[in-house]
Amino acid sequence: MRLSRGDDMVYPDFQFHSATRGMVAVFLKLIFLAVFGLLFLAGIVFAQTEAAPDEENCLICHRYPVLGRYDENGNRRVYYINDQLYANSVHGKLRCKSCHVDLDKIPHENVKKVDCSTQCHIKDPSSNREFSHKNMVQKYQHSVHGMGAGEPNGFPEDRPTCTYCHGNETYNPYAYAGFWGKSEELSRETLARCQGCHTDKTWTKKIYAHFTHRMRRRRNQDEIIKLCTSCHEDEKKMERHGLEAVSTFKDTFHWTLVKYDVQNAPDCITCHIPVGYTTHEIQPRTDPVSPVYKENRIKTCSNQGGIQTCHPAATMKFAEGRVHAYGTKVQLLADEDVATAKTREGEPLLMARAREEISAEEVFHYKVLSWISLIYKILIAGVIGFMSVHQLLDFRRTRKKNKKEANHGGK
Amino acid sequence: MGKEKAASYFSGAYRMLKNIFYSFLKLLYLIPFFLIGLWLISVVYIPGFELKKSIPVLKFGKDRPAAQPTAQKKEEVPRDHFHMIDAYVEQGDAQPSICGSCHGTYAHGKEKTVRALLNMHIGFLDCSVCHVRKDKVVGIEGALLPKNERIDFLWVDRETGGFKNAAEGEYGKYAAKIFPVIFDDQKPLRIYKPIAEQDARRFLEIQPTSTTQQLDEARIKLHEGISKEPVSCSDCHKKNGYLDFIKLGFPQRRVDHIVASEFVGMIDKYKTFYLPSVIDFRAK
Amino acid sequence: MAENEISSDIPAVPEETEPLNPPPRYFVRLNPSEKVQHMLFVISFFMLALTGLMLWLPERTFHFLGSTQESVFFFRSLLHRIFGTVMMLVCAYHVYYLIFRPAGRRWLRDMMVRKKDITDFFYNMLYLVGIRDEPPEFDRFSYKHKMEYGALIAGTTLMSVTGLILWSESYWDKFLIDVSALIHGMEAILACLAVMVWHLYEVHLRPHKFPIDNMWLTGIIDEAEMKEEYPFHYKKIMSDPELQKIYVREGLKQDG
Repeated sequence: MRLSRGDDMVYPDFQFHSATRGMVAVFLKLIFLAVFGLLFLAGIVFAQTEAAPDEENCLICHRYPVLGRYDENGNRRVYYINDQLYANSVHGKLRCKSCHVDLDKIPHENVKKVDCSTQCHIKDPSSNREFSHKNMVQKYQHSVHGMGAGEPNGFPEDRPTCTYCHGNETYNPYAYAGFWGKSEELSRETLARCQGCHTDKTWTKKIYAHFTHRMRRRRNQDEIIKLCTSCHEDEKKMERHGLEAVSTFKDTFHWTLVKYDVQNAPDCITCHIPVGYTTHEIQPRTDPVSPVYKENRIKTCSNQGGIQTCHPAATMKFAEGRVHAYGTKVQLLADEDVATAKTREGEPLLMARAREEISAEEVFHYKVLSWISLIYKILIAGVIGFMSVHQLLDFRRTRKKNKKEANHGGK
Repeated sequence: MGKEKAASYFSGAYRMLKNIFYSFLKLLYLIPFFLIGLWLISVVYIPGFELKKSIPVLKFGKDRPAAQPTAQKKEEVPRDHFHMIDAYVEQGDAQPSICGSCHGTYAHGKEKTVRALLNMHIGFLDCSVCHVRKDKVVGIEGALLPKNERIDFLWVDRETGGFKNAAEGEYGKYAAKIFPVIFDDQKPLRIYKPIAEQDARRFLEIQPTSTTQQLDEARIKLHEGISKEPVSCSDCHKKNGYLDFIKLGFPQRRVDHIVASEFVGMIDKYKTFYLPSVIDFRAK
Repeated sequence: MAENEISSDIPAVPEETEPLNPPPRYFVRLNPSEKVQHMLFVISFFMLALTGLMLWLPERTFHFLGSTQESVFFFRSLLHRIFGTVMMLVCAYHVYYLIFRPAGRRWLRDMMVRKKDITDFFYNMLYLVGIRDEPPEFDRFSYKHKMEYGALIAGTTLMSVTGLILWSESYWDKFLIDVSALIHGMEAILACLAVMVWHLYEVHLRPHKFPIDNMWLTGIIDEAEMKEEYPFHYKKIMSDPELQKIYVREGLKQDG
């Protein structure tokens, strides 16, 4: 168990091995029970539902499930809101028009897309100003995914929007279902401590939910991989931006750990957005601020802000190498004739980038690996084929012989 | 002599049985090894072979609500709808309307200003409630329906398909749907279906091979049972309107709400936009 | 059809029909040390294959275990390392045994490839195909054993080296790790398939041997089997009293 003493972040989900975490939960539970015990138990029950403050009366129509239509592209547009779910969500305190601005007319005209950098009428408790995601949006725009530098390749629709990754998630009390049982009570007990002083139960619950929500990962490794590969596995989409499609992650040992649901199994963000980095500022690996930039790799592999240590003894030699198995770009270069390996006019972006990024050494490595794999394929086929034939013949022959002997013996 | 012969015959049979049993045991022993061998060979020669086979299913967290996340069409990754859609969006139907197979779940698409609002009613009204006027059943005029039979409206349970006088739920989230039902005096007989389902299916089959002319004719023929003028908003959203809400089990408070002035006011506003003309058959 | 008759009849025949005969003779194939080495190697091989091949199982194979699968994975890794160590120690001891023990030196001498093995191989192939009527007379180790032993030495060396590299991954070049991982995996598959086809057939499925050849536990075989399978070695033993002291046991099947 590694506990971070830093004041900046604590990731309960990151730290504990499942069994230890379960034990910690049980231990804490016991302490809380002893200290606060029955005094609070009686009074604290999570309110199951909570209606949204529908002051704008939008729900008069929008609470009907089949409110919707098909848009021009044949996509289904659902305009239904479940107010109880919404009220328990991250944005549950916001009114509709905080985000959907200028929707004053019925039928709605001039509907604009929701802009997450809009200032909403929620006061930010830290500054007492109107809250907004403006900071994040600005940072994001300057990241490799954003449109800060414009779209050089002319496919702005390929860029992920806020809602591509973010949903309006429901707050849930912190609950861990592990080997030692479910620890929903842990949440209940912790909240009970808060509510001892903060008597406004709804407010306290919301703040508590906010903190615990921020402290754990909402997507497990599988979901993260699915989310990232939903774009990055699309060969056409990647090719027009000069990127190779991620097809080789599942050849790595990292994937094997994900396959077994290991708690800290490395997924995309473990290396590309490790502790101390944010997704919104993700940069290409050629950028010195990137965690997978050559100089930064040792830290990424060995010690992520003291929270996660995967390869504690990683050396530069180890960290420098290629993590994903070799993909399209190396294949392109390896297949190419050495004589024609000069930059040509009008060749595909992918090829040009491959030439820029892949060193001759890497191509050689790729070739060596392919050779070994080929040798083994031939070897296995040859050896096992010979063995099978040999044994089948042996079986046939021995049976024949036995039969003969048995016949002789019989006579 | 005979005795010996019988004995040898017996021992022969015994030996054969024993051999068969041994062969069977050997086979049993072989099968797992054979399968493991095949798997290993596939690992070497068809890498990623098991990846394609298993369809990854997104796990939406152990502690998320039971609501079904709805994937939007064309989307590869099923994600939560931003606005927390629940299972009511995709309610099943014991008596699914044939209309949906051509017109889609959201059948109204022509009139931009009200299409979503009209579609909203599909959640609890069958198409034929509005698109067949009970008093002006085309081509019937009492001729096809015997004198003692008439059309009225009833709830049909989504699961069992049985008739109900009232439905539990609120705001479009009912366990039943309103259908026009043929009554023999006071007894409900069956759901009234203006479209011959067999003909509709036949139409879908011949669609790719027929000319536009033929299809247009077939379309007109198919929709003969549909009233030219559907029931309009203001027909229901008024006191003593087309549907008898009290009879359908709505509480008086809710009925007041449905026919309340705010609704009626809104509907009056729509009137300027909404021209209840022919249905757009080609819209999908 | 009658391949199982002999094995089932043999224990009964000498005692009941010819009670006055001298006690049956048995021949040592594996001495106690070799039996233990074999046993340890079998266990570690099986466990290594089991815990190693688990990595290639399709996604979601263990999903029904829920959060326990993490522990499964943890113990898989641990066991793989433990039994890898056991296997390497067994091999190290075997090398010591080959060099410093008389029995081991004999083993090594008999295991050396000779001209006879090559001719044996061709004659046996001809016999299997049906051109020759009789199999060649095999010595203590036939070409089958020698091929398998050679493959085992090569395979264990490769697996140990690549396994140790993977175990101490942080200190190596990533390219070396890639190569090691590839070889480790491919060699594992080759070894498993080879053991399944070659070795398990020899000791389980071969006529006379089904369901299992007990030799790996007793270490000895009876005279009939010796004459049948290793006639050359049999003749050598019978003509040399020194060898008889080493290889022949009389009386009941008790020790090896």
